[in-house]
Amino acid sequence: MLEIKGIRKRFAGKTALAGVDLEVRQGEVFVLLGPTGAGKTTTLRVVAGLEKVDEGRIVLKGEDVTDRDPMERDMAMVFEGLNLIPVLSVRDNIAFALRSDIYREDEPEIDRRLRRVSGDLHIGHLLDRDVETLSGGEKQRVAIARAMVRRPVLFLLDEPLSALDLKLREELRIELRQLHERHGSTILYATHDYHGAAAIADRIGVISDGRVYQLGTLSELLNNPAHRVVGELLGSPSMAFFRARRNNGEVVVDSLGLSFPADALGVSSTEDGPVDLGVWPEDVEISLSAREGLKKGVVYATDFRGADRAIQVQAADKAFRKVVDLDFPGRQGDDCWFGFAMDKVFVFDHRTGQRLNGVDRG
Amino acid sequence: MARVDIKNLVVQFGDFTAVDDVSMTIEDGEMVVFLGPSGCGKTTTLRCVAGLEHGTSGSIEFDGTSVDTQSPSQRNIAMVFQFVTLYPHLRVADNIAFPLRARGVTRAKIREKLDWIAEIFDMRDLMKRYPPGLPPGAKQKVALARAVVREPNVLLLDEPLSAIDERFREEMRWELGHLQKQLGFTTIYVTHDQREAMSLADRIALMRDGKILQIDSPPDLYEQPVNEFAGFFIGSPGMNFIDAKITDNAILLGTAGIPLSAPGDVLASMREILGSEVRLGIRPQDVLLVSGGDEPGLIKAEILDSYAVGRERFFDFRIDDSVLKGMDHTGASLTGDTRIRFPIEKVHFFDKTSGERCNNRSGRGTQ
Repeated sequence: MLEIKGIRKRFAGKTALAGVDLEVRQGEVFVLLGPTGAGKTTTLRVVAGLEKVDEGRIVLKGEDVTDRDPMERDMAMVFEGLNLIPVLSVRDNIAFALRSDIYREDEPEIDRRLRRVSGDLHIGHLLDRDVETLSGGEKQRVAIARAMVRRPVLFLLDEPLSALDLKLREELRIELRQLHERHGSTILYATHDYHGAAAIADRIGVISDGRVYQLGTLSELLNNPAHRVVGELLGSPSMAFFRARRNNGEVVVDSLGLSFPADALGVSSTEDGPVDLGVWPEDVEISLSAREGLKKGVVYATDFRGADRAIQVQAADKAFRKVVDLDFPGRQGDDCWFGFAMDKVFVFDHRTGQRLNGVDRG
Repeated sequence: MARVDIKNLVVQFGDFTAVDDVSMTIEDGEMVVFLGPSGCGKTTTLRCVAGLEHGTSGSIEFDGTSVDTQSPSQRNIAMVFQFVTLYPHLRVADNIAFPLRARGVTRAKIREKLDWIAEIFDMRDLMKRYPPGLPPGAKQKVALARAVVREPNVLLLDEPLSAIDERFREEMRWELGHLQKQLGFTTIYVTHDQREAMSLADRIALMRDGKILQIDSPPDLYEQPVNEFAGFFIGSPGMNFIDAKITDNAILLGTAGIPLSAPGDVLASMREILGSEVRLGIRPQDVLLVSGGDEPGLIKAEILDSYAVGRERFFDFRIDDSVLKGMDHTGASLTGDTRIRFPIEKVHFFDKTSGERCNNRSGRGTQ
């Protein structure tokens, strides 16, 4: 339904988007997941037509809309800053676009839609309030209602929940997902929050430094990360990395005194050079007593999470985090031992970050 | 370092009571987190300890001595705010040494202190750099180093992580946890983020509407919330609630009275709330998913939605007219005839009108 092809965008000589390709399918929630400054907002603004592209095409429902005005694109965008109109009531804010020259809906129709959308978002009791008197969460709902009431072909949501406190964010995320299921709308949602992305996404695009590194469902990304960035941005905690090098048919982790046959890790044994080994924390075994095959580290800090704990392990020059059972007795400063199975290791080229072993989906 | 006693602190701004009779002791070397939604009075309480705000009544004591008439600087506290202000034209080492120089500490002593800081903060390689070039997490670390270098009586942290970019925030939370334990300073930390609180606190003071609702260690707060609000606020996602009624031989859920069987001794331990209408609370993490099977105690549930976060999967389900959330890591099937089990020892009961807890955790033998 939406295809973005090779979008490049520079601001004052700085590259914001370095060739973004992605495809959003009809009826799905597509999450653009990346850190601050990755190009998420710029991508959304380009799709909405609020920024001109330097290069590339945007195709919406088979039509090239790259050069069209924002209003001719039939999309609705909810920004982090919400931009509600302060002097208007909630009702008038929501109805604003419908009364504009583009939509010109009649008042009974506007009223019908208002009632429906305010019911969906539980803001019926707020319609006559001034938007200035609303709480953050209420404003957020109003902003989403204002976008929904137009029934656009595509919703663009830019970190729509990040300004809210944690509890409200959880609630609204669930509501957003339910709304989506009820209305079958197509949503492009940008966030830096892995949990938020996982909770709401049908598919995820991992973006960093103005590039989309991989597209896929969460399990596709976890089972088969194409790039080191995917390991860095996904997971809770994220992937554990160890510096290593390929040397004479072996992959050597100097800091841990470990070496593996390159063949067994699924990488070419004829090339040499630095690599990063990545292992999901769930696949790292940890013990408070020394055992054959396990390497020594130190518990650097611990993190009580309610139903479980996470620990950070410092091993030589590297640190990684892992979720452990509540009764895991390790405390800050304790020695611990860890290891991982060879078939759980992802090998990334240290310079390019590209995955080197296993199925390559590049 | 000092022990801090907050005694019957009340702060009124006009008609508004920001802090409503708060009393608590923060032990020497302890990290206490004031946690609560915005407007709960946590920051005002912290500012009273700092001497930046004065109570309408009540008292603050350090090591048993009232500091009510002392200025912030006389109290020898260190405070770190959301927004870090470092001197951009001074090297990191000089930024950290600044409060010492301002107090006329000798050069030898300053060098000794800087060594200690560089060691404990693991930032030898930062000492000669200038703040503008540092990542936000490192700046925060320098600000913290500058705050603790003169070894204050109490370290006060007001939402120190909330202004940091998300990608450095988790990093910095771990770092803070590590450093606080290494330093061993009496620390009061204010946040609305229950994850930060659970992660960092020795004890959490959960606040709402100017009052402390509960003071407990993170695990105790998680397992024995004093009321519905505490159950919901702590833990992510928050606790589920459903109306229930306790009878002689079962717990009945919802208006339809779906029976949740419980061993006789468990029911006996709840004699006090027998026959009363309560709210049953259960954490999503404690809901068990059972595929097939027809043994007693299983509840038929309609699965509405599910999504995976890594290897864990959350699901929404309906019992009667309530939608609840569960979390599964067994990989059990969510299609077809799905049943739910609420392990009785993981179930909380709250009074239906007051929201106050009305059972000790059943099955744990605590009375």
